[in-house]
Order: sequence, then structure tokens, then C-alpha cells
Amino acid sequence: MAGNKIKLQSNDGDTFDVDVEIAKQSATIKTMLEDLGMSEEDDVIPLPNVNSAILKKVIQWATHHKDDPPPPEDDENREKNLSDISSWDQDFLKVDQGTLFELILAANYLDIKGLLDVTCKTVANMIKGRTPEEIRRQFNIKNDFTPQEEEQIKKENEWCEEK
Amino acid sequence: MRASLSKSDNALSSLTSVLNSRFKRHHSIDDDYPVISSSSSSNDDRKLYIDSQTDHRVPLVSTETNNQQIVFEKSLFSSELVKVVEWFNQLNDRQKETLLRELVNSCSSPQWHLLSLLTADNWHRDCPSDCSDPLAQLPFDISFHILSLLDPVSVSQCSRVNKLWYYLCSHPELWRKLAQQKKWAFSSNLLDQQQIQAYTNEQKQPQWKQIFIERYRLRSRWLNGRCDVKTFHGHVEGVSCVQFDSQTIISGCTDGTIKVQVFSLNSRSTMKLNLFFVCRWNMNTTDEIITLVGHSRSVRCLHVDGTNEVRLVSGSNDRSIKVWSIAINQTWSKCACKLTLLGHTDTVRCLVVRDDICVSGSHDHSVKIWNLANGLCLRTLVDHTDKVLCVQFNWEYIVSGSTDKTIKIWRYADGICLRTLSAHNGSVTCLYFDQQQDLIVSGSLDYDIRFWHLSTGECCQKIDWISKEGHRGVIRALKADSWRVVTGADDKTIKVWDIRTGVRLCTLKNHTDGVTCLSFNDYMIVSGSFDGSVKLWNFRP
Repeated sequence: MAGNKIKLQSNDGDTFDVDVEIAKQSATIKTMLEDLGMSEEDDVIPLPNVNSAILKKVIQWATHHKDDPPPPEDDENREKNLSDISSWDQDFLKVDQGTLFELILAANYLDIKGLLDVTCKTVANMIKGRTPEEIRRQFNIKNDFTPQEEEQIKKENEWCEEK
Repeated sequence: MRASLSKSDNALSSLTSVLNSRFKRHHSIDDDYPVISSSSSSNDDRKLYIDSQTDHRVPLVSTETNNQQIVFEKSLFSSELVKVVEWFNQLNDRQKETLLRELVNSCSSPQWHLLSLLTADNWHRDCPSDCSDPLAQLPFDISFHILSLLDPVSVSQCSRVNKLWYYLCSHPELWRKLAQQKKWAFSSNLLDQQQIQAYTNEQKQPQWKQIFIERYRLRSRWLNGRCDVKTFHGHVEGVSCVQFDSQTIISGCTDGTIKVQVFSLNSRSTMKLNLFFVCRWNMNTTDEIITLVGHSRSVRCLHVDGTNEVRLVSGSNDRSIKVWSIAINQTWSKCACKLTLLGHTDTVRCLVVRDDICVSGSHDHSVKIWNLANGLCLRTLVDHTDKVLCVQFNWEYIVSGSTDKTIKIWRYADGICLRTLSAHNGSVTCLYFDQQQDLIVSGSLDYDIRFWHLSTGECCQKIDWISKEGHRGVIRALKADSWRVVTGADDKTIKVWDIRTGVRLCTLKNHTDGVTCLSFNDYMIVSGSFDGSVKLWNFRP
């Protein structure tokens, strides 16, 4: 079976030839192939939620990570480590915010856990350790609190400032 | 000579290009275009460099030939430009974006500068206000996943961003996950559950954010050594052992008595003593208590467990171990000595109880295993060559420390001594071990605290007072849980350490003489001292 290819089609009509094993990192595609009995000979697999630029990046990521061991189960009781992003992934994710969000949506739709994890961590890193004002500036967010509400919420959060 | 010259030329030309780019910013794109001429020699560059330094308004290129070149290229550029713009206008939004991305990727510093100027006033023009807000743009479960990757302080900051963020950051599930992370959970499962219960409302929903906040504040109080101290007097002489449970402090004294003090753990303000008098020997003492009389000489060690009916096991200089039953409620109290275990031929110095099994160490050099249900001695472990001062056990190992300066690891099942650890330069006075963390921590007469690997017997860390801000006196007491080690010493202080790193978290000073014994849980430390007092160090926020 090794070396078999399938065709993936983006929502803007481009098709990509991809190794089956690489494509199967997407649980969504894996299910389509296995449970729904689709085979390579069938027509292309349409991916109506992914455009061609993003699909290209996703395939690039999946190709690089094709030999990765399956990601470990999340341990709820451990503190999350946001710094364990490989340097390849860091470079890969040096993209604008719009692209990053689209990658997250694609990883979610295609159900690629590794890519979803690393993209979400990247967003978390953009938030971590910032003040509310810095976060608003980073993401173009409008502060819609009234001064009274703002005061109230500041009070609610005093616990993390006391020593 | 040649090499050095060309090197300086390079340096010069790179400098010039920076100047060029600066200069160009004052011109329109049209004017700029032809200036970039790869054919210009380094000599021209140098001239340019000098010119532009003297006067920034001097035209970049002044020779006749170059002017002609400009005219020619300008017309070509202009016509090309018109085509490109026309082409661009025909593209759809996605194609325009793709093109712009590509162009931006090809930009260098001067273009970045221009882009910054051109776009500054137009950032997100005509966009809805949440156009690049991840929590607004992404599905709820992904937003939630992103927030759950954050540390609590970051989540708190996020909740102040706007109403949407506040709403998402208030989700109880987020705070449940945080509160149950190992870093924030209580070391004691019982206290963990009790705290959750205390914050569970009538609809049976735990208030996870409140639960977490209390845990956060409690932990930061430990890390900063912030606690309220309450002192209990009652003993005439030095306190030799102390233990407490949710409502009572029980201390043993070298005067041969055991005192039971009842307090309320749940009152938030200052600890209020609820007093019960069994012995009725002093109606006026507000600190009294029950006094258990039975041992003929000093009580050296004790263990307390049970909730409604308290079981107390005490060891004494009179060589015996006694098992007591104490019942206390609002209206009546009783106590009775149930069993006396005889077998040790010298002072019973230390004991530890699990279920119905008691392991004791004695000045007679031996460790004994007892069945508390029938009072029989099950096994005697002999290998130490001097007094046994401290002992701990689980169902696999018994670990003991002795005046012979060693720690011994025994197999619980058959009492065989598996390993002898020697590195201390004095008696091993107190110890703790945890199989899961593969760790033994010991304190000694030599003032040092040592960390050992249980599995290999290797000493992995030494904390002394010179290099690690350790104790400056004999270490008498040492207890630990999943993340901290608490030690008490003759230097009158109690110190708290990070069990993983050995870093000192805080030093507590209040006793007026050496600290002899201590006990602690997630909320508090209770300590006894040669000064005759028992102190409660309460970290509850």
C-alpha cells in the first residue's frame, strides 16, 4: 500500500496529490477512506472548508511530521507547557494571524491533533503574560466594559496580585 | 592590501544603501524607481555618501547620462505600473490577498517602513471590532482549549479584556482544570475534597473559580511564609511530640502528660478554642484540654487518627507504647487506655501507624512491628548499632534513622535490611520517604538536610547552612508532602523547602527555644518546642 496517493481538493478548486499515509494524519480523511470505504481510485476528496493556500500549508506540515509518534494523551493534572514547540514548527507558524486562525480551523476540521495543538499553543503564547491592554492591541479588540464594570472586574482579579 | 580595500568598499556600499533608502523616503515611488542601479560603481557610491551626508536635499544622481537613463526607465515603469494596477483591480479578494502576501514577503526594510506609514491610519479600517480576535473568530471549544493552556494569572488578565473574554474566562470548567492540576491541588486528598465541598452550592455545583483562588492564595502564602501564629501554653516542660487533625492538637511532653487541645479548623477568623475538661484539673485555664495520664515517664512520640473516636498511640521513656481511645463532642468527652505494648527494652523514641500496624524505633537499637488489634509484636528488626531515632514505613519498605549516623532501608514483608545509607556526620534525627518520588529526606545532628534516592541509596542533595541557607542547629523535626519539606531545628526556626529543588521557600521564627517536633497539612504547621509552647502557623488566607 505504501506510496499510494490520493487527491485532495481545496474549496477553490486546486487538487493536491498526497501520500495516503500522510493524509491519514487527518482523522477526518482517515475515516472517509476507511469507514466510508473510499479508495484511491475514487474521485478526489473535496475539502469544502479549506482553501488552497491553507491546504498547501497543512500538507507541508503533515509531510514534515509523517513519522512522528502518536501524540501522548493529555494529562489534565499537569501544568501546560507552552514552550515545547519544535523550531521547525515555530518557523512554520511564523505567519500572519489570519493564516494562523485559518490553520487552526483547518486542523480542527481535518482533525489533525498535532497541528491543532501546536497552533493553539502558538495563540496561547501570544496571550500569555500580557496585560489586558496589550491583548486588545495585539488582536484589535475593543474594550466594551463601562468604567464601573472595569473597576468591578479589576477587584475580582486582585487575588493574583497579592503576594 | 587589495583584500582590505574591497572589504571597506563593501562596508561603504552597504552603508550607502542604508542612506539611499533613508533618502528615498522623501520621494514618491515614481521618482525612486530608477535610482536603484546595480551598475553604479563603488566610486559613485562613495561620492553619493559624502554628498548626502553634507546635504540631504541634494539630488541623488546628478550626472547627465544618469538623467537620460531615468527618463527612459520611468516611461517603461509607468506603463508597466498601469498594467499591474489594472490587473490587480480585476482580481477577487482572495487573489488580492495572495498577491499581497507574496509581495510583502519580498519586501525589505525600506518597503516595511513605507508600509508602516501607509497602513498606520488604516489598520482594520472598516473591519468589525473583533476581526482578529481569536476568541471571537474561532469556535467555542477551540477558544476554550486555548484558554485552558494558560496559567491562572494570564487567564485572570484575559478576563479583563472585554465582555466576551470575561465570559469565556469565567467558565467553571477552566477553573476546575486549573484547581485540579497537581501544582494547585492539595497534597491531602481529604482536605482537597473537603475544600471542594465547602465551596459547593445548593445546586451541587462546586464554585471552581473560588476554589482555585483560595488554592492560589494559600500557595502564595506558603511560598512567602505569610501565616498567622497562635501560641498554646500548657506544658511545663519541653514539648516532645505534636500532631493534629481537623479539630484537635495533641501534644506530648517530657513531663509525662499528653494534652489534647480542641480548636475549630473551619472558622475563618482567629482560631477560637472550644474547650472540654475531662480531668477538670483547672477550670480557669482557657487552653485546657484533656490530659491523658498513664505513662510513668516522658512521652516521646505519638500518633493520632480517627475522626469521631480518636485513636492515639504514644511511646514513652517508660519503654511502653500505649493505645488510647478519645471521644470528644459538644457535650461530653471520654478517654481510655485500651492497650499497652511491652517489648522494647529502652525508650520508645519514634513510632508510625498505618491501619492496625505500628512500627516503632527504640533506644534499644531495634525497630519493632506491632499489631494494634491484639497488641502483639510481629517482628523485631535488628541491624542498627545505636539508638533508633526515627522511622517511617509503607507496605513495601521501612526506613529508619539512628544515632549510628546511618539510614537503613528494610523490606516490610520479611524485615530484611536492604540498604544502609551513610553520609551524615551525626545522628539521623528525623526522616521522610516517598516511594513515588523515589526520595528519602533526612535531618541530622550535623545540621544538614540530605535528599537520597530511595531506589539506589544515592545522596542527591545536601542542604547545609553555609551554602544553602539551611539550619544553624541540630535538626529535630522533618515532615514532607508532595511538594514541600518542613523542618524544625535547635536554631529556633522552622524552614520550608521545595521538595523537588531543595530551594528554601520560607523561614518561620517565633519560638523562643529549639523546635523539637512538628506536623503540618496544606493549611498549617503545628510545632512544639523546648520553650514549652505549641504553636499553630496558619497559612489559610
